[in-house]
Amino acid sequence: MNKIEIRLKVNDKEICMNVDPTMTLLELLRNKLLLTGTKEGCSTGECGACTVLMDGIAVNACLVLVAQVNQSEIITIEALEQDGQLDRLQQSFIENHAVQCGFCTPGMLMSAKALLLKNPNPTEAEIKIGLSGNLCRCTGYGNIVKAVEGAIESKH
Amino acid sequence: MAKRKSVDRQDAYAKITGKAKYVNDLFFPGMLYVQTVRIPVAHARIKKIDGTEALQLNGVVGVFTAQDVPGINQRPKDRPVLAAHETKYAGDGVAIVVAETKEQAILGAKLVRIDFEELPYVMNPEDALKEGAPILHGETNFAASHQAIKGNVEAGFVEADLIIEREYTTQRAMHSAIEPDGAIAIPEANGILLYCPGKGPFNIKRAVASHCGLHENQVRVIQPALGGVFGGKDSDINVIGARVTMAAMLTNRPCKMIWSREEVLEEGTKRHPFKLHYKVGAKRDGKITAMEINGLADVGAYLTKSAATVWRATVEATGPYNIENIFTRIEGAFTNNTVSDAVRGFGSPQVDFASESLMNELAKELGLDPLKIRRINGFTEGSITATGQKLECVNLMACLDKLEETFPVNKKPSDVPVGKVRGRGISCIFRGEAMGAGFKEKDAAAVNFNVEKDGTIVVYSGITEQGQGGSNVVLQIISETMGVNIENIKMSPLDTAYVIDSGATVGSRGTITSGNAALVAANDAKMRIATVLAEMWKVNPEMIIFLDNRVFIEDQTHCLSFKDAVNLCYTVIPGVYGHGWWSLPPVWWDFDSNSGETYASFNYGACGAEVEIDLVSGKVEVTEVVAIHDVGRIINEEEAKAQIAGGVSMALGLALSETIATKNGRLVTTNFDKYLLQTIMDSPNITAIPLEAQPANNPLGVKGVSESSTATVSPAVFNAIENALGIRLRNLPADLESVLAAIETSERLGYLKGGGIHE
Ligand code: FES
Ligand code: FES
Repeated sequence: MNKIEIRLKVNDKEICMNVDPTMTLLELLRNKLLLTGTKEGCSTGECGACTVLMDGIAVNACLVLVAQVNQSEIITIEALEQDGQLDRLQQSFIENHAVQCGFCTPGMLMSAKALLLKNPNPTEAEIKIGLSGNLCRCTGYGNIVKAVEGAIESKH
Repeated sequence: MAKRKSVDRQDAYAKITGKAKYVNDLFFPGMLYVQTVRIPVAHARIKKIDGTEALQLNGVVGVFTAQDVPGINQRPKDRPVLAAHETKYAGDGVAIVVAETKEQAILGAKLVRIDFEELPYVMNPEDALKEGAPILHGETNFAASHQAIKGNVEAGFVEADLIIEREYTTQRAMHSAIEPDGAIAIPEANGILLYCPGKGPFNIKRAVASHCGLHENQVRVIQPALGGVFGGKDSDINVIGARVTMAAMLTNRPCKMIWSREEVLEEGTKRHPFKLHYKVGAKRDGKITAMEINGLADVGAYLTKSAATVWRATVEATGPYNIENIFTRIEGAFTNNTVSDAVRGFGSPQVDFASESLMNELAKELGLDPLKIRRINGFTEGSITATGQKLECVNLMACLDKLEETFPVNKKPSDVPVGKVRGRGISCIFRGEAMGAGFKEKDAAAVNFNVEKDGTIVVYSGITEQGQGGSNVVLQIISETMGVNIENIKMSPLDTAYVIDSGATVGSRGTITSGNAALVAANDAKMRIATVLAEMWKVNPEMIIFLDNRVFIEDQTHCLSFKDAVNLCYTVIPGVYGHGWWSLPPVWWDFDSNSGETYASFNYGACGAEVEIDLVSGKVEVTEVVAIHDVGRIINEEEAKAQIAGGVSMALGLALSETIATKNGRLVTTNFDKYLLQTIMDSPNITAIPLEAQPANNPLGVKGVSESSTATVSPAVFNAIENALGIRLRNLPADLESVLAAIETSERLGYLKGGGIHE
């Protein structure tokens, strides 16, 4: 198959690559860029474990083809901690006991990040809608909602 | 002891930064990918497997079948690494394709030509036991049978003023850890190194060694981060581990296999569906005089741990009630369904659903309050179970008291929207702790640690961290016993080369066994250090205090930092370490007399649920759950609550939405679009209450926390549905169709549905 050239920014790094156009963004991140923090739970857009930010919007990386990310900016879980400083959301996930097995956690955090970027003061209902595409089998979600609430700007 | 503070989890940092490495995050030079080949029918005779075409595909390195399995492919009735002559369910693997890339392996698997003959199949355990049914193993489809008999059930029914009979069914459901199962095998000079996320690393090692013709010392299992278990990553992971190991042995290269979600659902083990028939007799005042239970479980295609699951269900089938006359018999039958095996709760959710639904039905017939009937019959200190076991540390009444206080079951729902009805229901439970007499091995765990010269403590534990926070419990106990900050204590990765076999992390045994072992180890190290210092300081070792990273005697005439104390010890003794073993008291079961000490201890619980039902769609929304669980003593309160809440959430899926469905012997629910887990939108307000009543009979006073909450929710929800609709549902789950069908049969509800007046 003919490869295509794509240019994009991943976690602030310019990237230019020749890739197979059937490759998904998830495969690009995990297998080519070795950014394995983004997880794969279903490969069909049902679980949200693969959520990353694409131009500031949360997307399921397993559903996005590489051709679609040309010229865009991707942020993954690996870039949430900046200069050894945890993001407020990350800190809040620890403090609110919102992490158990951790497999949904990167996706949850990225969905929550996208939500707070768009809406810095979400209500509980808005938080739930923002995270409605992310499955967690461990926590029962209560502590995750609390964790996002704990990271809201106005509460600091 | 003062109440403990909740402690943040040490494993959280790696997980929130994406740095935690799960098995699929690991890559090794020269690694090959392995794909399983299956036959898409429920039952088939394999005539020929031809890999020629697949082998011609670019990148395909090998195609292997049962003939290539280096050791024992299959033990009688159990799962084979690869089916040799016959597949017994549509998920059975028959071959593996090994290739340079995952895509090539998947493509190659499609090119493996299989000549097979479709055989008649049976998908229902009752049919499986009928004359003429296709037989899966040996002579009969009978897979397991257990009984518990107490008193004289016939005489008990004669005494009764009222007798009712009811039948309940539970569905096939799945663990659904968000991490799909997988493993990597790496050939090494002395055998195989296996990266394998499982709840029983030593079980994996044994199974893989036996399947692959290796000595146990030739298989080393390193556990990567575990993305959820819930009873899974057990039988499946043994099969996966064996497949990648044989591939690695045959190609001499690292081999990786990660199941897709579809494969997890198709081949992976599931929760046993049960059909349970109850007959109960009671006096007018509510006192139960006799209970007769007959049950049948669907074991699926292979045996795995079904006998133990059915046994637990038999032990607990009456619910937590004092009944003089009991007859319980639960059996299991093979079918061509996916394999049934351990899932969080292990038989308890099925029988608790039935017995707790039954209690409400009985209360209704007798005109009694549902809480009252539980108080009249509930276990108290010294009660005797169906198996003749005398109970200690019984906290059922404490749980019911707490339930009454936090969840008034008779509270009238207010502000009910038009077209909807609300109801409230309760349930309770007693549940055997740890492995119990259903398993032969000694129920024990070890915790060891070294104290480094910089004062840090490096811990080795065989109990797996699978998300439950078990590692942190061990660190916390060492921290509080040694007076060392938890930041200075590190859990080592679980590697069978270094840790001691501590059994599988199952049956809610982690905290009981490894928590107490950590206490023994910490006291061992403390004594070692204190002996050295006592000699130098010319004091009694008992006078030495370990607190806040310091070691001192009360009047402070001698005081050292923990680090300096350790360094001093290294000048006198060869090492500073702690070793600790702890095992549960022995239990036993006599299959002839059907009696024994089934479990060393039991935990108790009570649950309340409120539902709101949409009369037009039949949708049941759970608006509130209160889950109270007797945990003996709390180690980490927020984490204990989180365990309970997680169990509740999983149980809500069982109550309302999750069903593994098949059609013509094949799975219909192949991904999360059809197998519906609870989402954040469904999640109700959950009040999780870990209760400290009487402590358990072990040094830490702890009981298990992870499973009982998975059992109590579905009966509470069904009792609430009955309370709302006036209609009793007896088959799990209460999905849209069954609730709507129930509503449609009711005239009263038809009226309400049209926007009528509320009662
Ligand atoms: S892996 Fe992308 S949504 Fe599940
Ligand atoms: S923490 Fe395990 S799936 Fe969410």
